[in-house]
Amino acid sequence: MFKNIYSPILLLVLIFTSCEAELEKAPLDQFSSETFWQDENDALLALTGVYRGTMTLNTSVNMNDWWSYTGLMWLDLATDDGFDRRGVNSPVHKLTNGTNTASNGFVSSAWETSYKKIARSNDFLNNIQEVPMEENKIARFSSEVRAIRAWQYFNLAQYFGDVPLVKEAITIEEANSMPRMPKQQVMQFVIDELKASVDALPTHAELPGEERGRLTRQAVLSFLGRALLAEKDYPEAAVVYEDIIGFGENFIDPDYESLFWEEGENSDEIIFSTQYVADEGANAMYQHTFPAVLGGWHFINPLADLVMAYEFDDGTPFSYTDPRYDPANEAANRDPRLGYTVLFNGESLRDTGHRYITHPDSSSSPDQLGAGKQATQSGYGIQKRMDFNYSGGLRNSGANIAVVRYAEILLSYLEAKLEAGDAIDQALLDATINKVRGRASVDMPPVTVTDPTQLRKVLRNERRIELAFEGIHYWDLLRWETAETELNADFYGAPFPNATRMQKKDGQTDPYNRWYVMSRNFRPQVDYLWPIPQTEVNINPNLEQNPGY
Amino acid sequence: MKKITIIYLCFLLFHFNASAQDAIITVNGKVMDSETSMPVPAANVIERGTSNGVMTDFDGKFTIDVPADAILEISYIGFASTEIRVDGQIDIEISLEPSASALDEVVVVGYGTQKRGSVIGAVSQVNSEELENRSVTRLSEALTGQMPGVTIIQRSGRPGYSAGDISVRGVGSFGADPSALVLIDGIPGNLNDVNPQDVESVSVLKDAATAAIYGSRAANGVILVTTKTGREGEIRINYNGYVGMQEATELPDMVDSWDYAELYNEATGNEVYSPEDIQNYRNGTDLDNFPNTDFIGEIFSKKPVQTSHNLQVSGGNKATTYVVSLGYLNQQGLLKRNDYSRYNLRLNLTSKISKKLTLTTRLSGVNEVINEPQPPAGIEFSDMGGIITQAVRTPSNQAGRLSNGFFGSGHAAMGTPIAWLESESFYTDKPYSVNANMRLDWQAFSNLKFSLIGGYDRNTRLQKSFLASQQINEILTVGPAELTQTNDNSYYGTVQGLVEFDKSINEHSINVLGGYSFEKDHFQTLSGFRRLQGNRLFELNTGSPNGQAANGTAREWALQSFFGRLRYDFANKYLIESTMRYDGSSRFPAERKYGFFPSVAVGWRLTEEDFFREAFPGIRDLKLKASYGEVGNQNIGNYPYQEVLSADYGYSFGGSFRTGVAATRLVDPLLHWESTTSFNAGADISIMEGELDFSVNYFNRKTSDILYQPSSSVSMVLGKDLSETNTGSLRNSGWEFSAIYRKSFNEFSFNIKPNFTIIENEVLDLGVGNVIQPNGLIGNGSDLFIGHPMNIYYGYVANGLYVDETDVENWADVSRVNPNPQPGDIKYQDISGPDGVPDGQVDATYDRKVLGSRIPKYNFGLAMGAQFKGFDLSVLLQGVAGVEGYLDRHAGFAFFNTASIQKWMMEERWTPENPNPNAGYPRLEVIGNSGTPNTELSSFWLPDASYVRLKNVQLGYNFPDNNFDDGRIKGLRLYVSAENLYTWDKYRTGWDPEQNPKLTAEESFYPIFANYTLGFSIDF
Repeated sequence: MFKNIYSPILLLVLIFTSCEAELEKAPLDQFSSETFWQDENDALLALTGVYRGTMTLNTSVNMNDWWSYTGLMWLDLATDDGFDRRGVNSPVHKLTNGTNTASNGFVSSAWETSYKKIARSNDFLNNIQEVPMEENKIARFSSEVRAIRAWQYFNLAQYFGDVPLVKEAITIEEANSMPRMPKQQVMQFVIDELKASVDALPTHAELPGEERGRLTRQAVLSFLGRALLAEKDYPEAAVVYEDIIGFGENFIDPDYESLFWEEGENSDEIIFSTQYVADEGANAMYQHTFPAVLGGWHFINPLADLVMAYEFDDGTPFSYTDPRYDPANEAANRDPRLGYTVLFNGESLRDTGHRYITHPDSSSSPDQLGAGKQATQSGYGIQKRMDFNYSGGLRNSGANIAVVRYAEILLSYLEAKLEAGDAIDQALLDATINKVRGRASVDMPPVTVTDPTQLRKVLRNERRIELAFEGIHYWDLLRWETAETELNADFYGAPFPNATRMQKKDGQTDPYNRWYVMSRNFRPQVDYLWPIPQTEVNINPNLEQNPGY
Repeated sequence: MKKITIIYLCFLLFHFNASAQDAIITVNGKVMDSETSMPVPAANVIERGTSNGVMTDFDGKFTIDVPADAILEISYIGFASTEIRVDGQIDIEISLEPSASALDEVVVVGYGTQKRGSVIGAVSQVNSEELENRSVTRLSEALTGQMPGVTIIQRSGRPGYSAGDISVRGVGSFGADPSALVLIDGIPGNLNDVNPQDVESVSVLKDAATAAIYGSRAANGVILVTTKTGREGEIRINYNGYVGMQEATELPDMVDSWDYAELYNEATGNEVYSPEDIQNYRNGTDLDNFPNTDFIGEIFSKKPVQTSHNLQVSGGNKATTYVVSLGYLNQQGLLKRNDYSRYNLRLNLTSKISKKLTLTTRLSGVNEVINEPQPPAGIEFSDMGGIITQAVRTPSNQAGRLSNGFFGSGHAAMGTPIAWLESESFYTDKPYSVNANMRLDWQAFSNLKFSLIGGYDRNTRLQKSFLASQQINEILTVGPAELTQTNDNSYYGTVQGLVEFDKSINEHSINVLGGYSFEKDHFQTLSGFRRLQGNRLFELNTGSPNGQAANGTAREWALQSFFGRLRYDFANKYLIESTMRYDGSSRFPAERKYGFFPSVAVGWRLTEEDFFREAFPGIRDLKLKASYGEVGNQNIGNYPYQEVLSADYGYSFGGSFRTGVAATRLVDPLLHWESTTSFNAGADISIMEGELDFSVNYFNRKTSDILYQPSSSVSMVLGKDLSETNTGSLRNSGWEFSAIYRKSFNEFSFNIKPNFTIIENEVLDLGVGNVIQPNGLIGNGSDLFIGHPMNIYYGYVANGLYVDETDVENWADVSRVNPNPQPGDIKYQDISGPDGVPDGQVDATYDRKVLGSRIPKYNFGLAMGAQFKGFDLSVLLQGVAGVEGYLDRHAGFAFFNTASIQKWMMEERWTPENPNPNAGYPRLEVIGNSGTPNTELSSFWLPDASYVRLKNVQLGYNFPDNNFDDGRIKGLRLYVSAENLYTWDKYRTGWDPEQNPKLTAEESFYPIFANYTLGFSIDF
């Protein structure tokens, strides 16, 4: 009798003892933090993760990283250069139209993704010292991460002003109570970190091909230059730019157009670019920026204000009343960069057999202006960076996206010298701005003005057209403090002299028959700084909101 | 080891109690109806306190082996259960008194059954007769409205998917998944996989007293599905089949192209479409350039067919009983090339190996095939949902088909839904599941039973997604073609041991259950991707390795449990029951792996008291009951407490992509169970000679230590996402009422079964998420606030629309929300300000409030049945109230992101000519995908989503037996049935309030179905 009863008990005891160990489970497709950081390979995996940051490799239209195409190009849609196709309620447009609020999604994405990249960098720096690997590699890896982290703070300080400065891993309680550090101290941290990062890095020429995309001395110095310009420390900035030029490893590429295509992505003019590879690590820029006829969503809509900034091909300023102006062919007789940058009504899209037709009366065209289509809002499209011969999936482009070009270095160097009050001579002009506008494919007449006030105007215009839609112009307008004049105006698009349908401002026909796009109303007391996201202010009472929000 | 010792002692204890053994005899009996003296077939005959039981055959006869002193319980629906002492008799005749009382029903509870009359927990049960002949494709649909406290909402009609949102007594967590635990014959499973025709009963354990025996997974109720088992007797063959037509309950109604053009002009304030254009649209003579395309109508092919065939063979002898069933279901979808087939096979076998050993084997297999159309490659959508969403979005003035046979380019020069539906793209999803479940019962003594249960589930799912290249028209070709193939495999295994002891001494009855269970689950997936060479071959190898991709992952969990239950009653008058479960889960860290979940319930049957019976002779049965206990929830990811570096952060250097890792979330190393304490008090009453039964229950469930990711309560400066942590609490409290009234007059009988539930859902605490918002609300600032329900809408209060400029000027300053308010815009109310009173300024900080919830507060169902001669009619009404709906994006806003406009918007819109402040739609405007000031979430956009639905109507006729003289056919029934026949609601025209869909980028909608079927059932 007893024997019969033992067997089930024994069975249960057996099951129980064998099952207890089964309750310990470790993730099968993720590395455990406890057993990571063993060797150089682990460090490289983590370094790659820091570079990737919060960048999305699909269709995200949110600002997801300062080095993604959204971070680089979208900001120019808040300026006199362009307009966001999503319209006047788009979060980007609101940055400068006088209606920005603390719940702007673009702003909170920028905030969030910056701090995510910072936290990832802090993790890396916290662990790298203990990894058994060569000292110089530890130094190099750390320098890259410190520069990446500094770049996040640079952007945070530029757009938000004072921000919490997190240099180590923090707790939830710390995160929820951290006060804002004065902008000046954040910028000092940025400058110190960038300076400290330079020496352990290879130069542009030293960087092996398979490592292209990692930071070089020139790249970090370029960021340092921008930080010093922002801080108006012009003499110091000039020294940094001289350093970059002094390496003699970067050049102005003779071909302006293809420089921005995949075929030009390894040009020595490009100092630093975000890396993409089709299929595994592709970008979706073409999806967002191609014209509708090629299946794109036409996010970027250049404005007449930008088109007007390009000179006639003899170097004289543009005018609608000049006989060389042809509303049906605006790129004719103009700085060639206009044609390389802006896409005009009626243009053929390279070898695709398609034409870009935006005329408001062209009801059969998917790119028709003003008919509620997912198409241009200004009559113009973007040509720069757009390789219309690209035939792969629009969300699967492997084209790198340049972050810093040598042209910027030369123009910034001239600006630093000019603003530092140094004497300007023709030699300096020829070594800087004239190299940029004199490249074979552009070949504009050299600049000869040396009067600081006049040169400032010329230089700023050159910067605007040379670097259009590269993520520089919005920042420039803020640091030059000219946004309040440039962005308080009505904005127009392309001229359509005989169109039956026209969008007019208050019923008034534009004297040049241009399509009215929208008006901007930049608030000088408010819009030089972005709001701290409302949710952050709610959570952390120590985060004081910027004025006006 | 301590646990083992305790169990061992328990075993010993049972042994001493069980040492007296009796001789086994074979009893032959017959069960008759006391009124008609007709035999009662299919009555249950069970040896009390055991699972030893048989069913009577057609002649009411049965044979059972029992100890000579056993007590037999005889029960059958519609009759009062009877007990009879065997006392050594081998020939027994039993008369059953007809009874309408549901109190005698056998109710399935955790690891056993109980009679309804002695249940003191909160259990609702639906039996096979309430599920049979319903022409639904999913079991969950058949349950809708049938049980108080069980809310089932169909969010989608997509064939083959979605069992619906099922919640038991409210939504129990804002962190962990608040779904009920579904057990099919004791093994966790999917309600969708069960053939409704195989189901004997579905029982829902709602309170802690009944659910706590499932401990850590029982916090949100337990749904027990029991499949049919065989009966002793000659072979019985039943075929049941139906065929029917389906249609969408609602479809959005879009405007014609000429109306679209006129309204678009109105929205822009420009003459985008000239009068000639509009006339051309009206003329309809140049359809290539001036089309009027009905995208919705073309996408949803009308009235698809649904068929079902079920064959069930059952029978058996003394040693073996069996049920074999074969089921086939085919449901065509509303779209071309969209259909769903399900093949069910089941064998339930009960084998008496010896007088003491019974082996129950349940084998089932489900094979499903889902076919869906897909858009071609290279466009922004890659599934059927995208086609539907775009059909709602695309205006009627876009060309569908062109006169030259090609298709229109569409707004994004990628074609339109009509073109995509014609592409050669396809999606097939083939889930296969095999389930084996064996149970060996050893009746060691008449009152002591050991059971060993082994279960194994194997699920395989093959998905193939082919996106074709397609020529849309002369200038537009999309592609290249691509194929993604995914293979999921999961294995689940469990081993369980049970010991059950049952003893009655005089008026004391005791029942003890002890058990052990171990469960383990492993899931793995593998997928491959390649671009293909055209649309001819659909295997990966035919594609180019250039750009190919492979992905795979795996995950596991395990759960070990000890559980027990003690029931005691005195004279069937005072009842007490206690259950407990001790669970260890792989999802929690070593020191917090185990959780203990106890419960206790008490009941008092007043009608067993002499004084009560004398005082209230009209009350046939009255039971008061109360229970209290604690249950848990662990429905979160598998590794929530472990700090890991995810390998999802690769990046390219030098033209090649490298793996990259990052630690992106902060984990709580002290994570433990989410727990729910649940209180239930109720009364069951039976009056009017059992014609009316009534139950009322009050419940109060408090969920604490909610497994929540409090990301929105932590500053983004942290730079990391948060993993679950135990924080916050929530209450679901309310009342359930249900009643059954049955009456018969001669050949006519009818029954009415109403049920009604009130559920109050309230967030009590958010723990680390207790952020005090400037307006005084405490919560995360978007969707969770203390003192309010979950799933809320938080926004502005709309006070109609501005009539004119004066109205705009006189209203509060709304510039922070709407910088340029115009007549026809929504007037947002100034609720408050920094000083707690209206400040003349409307802003996001002070002027938003909780406007309602997506969780219905009231649920009700009303089932009615009537029989007359061979005819029977049943009607099921079901509804919810106290719920708000929200239609956004293309579904709710006109001209949203190049979308179209619906007729109701046209008809109800505000216009300068008719500046109605209470118009149903604001002034027309073109809306980008970031919205406009008018599309801010406000009470304007929250229609009442309450409804009453005629869920099912069924009329059947049973041919009288004498029609079949040869005796081969034993029964024949013909029936017509309709599902979702009609709905009363105040919702937006064209949208079903039950679905309450949100057309966000991620979520698309698929209409839910109404169907009309004709079927018959034949017995051989």
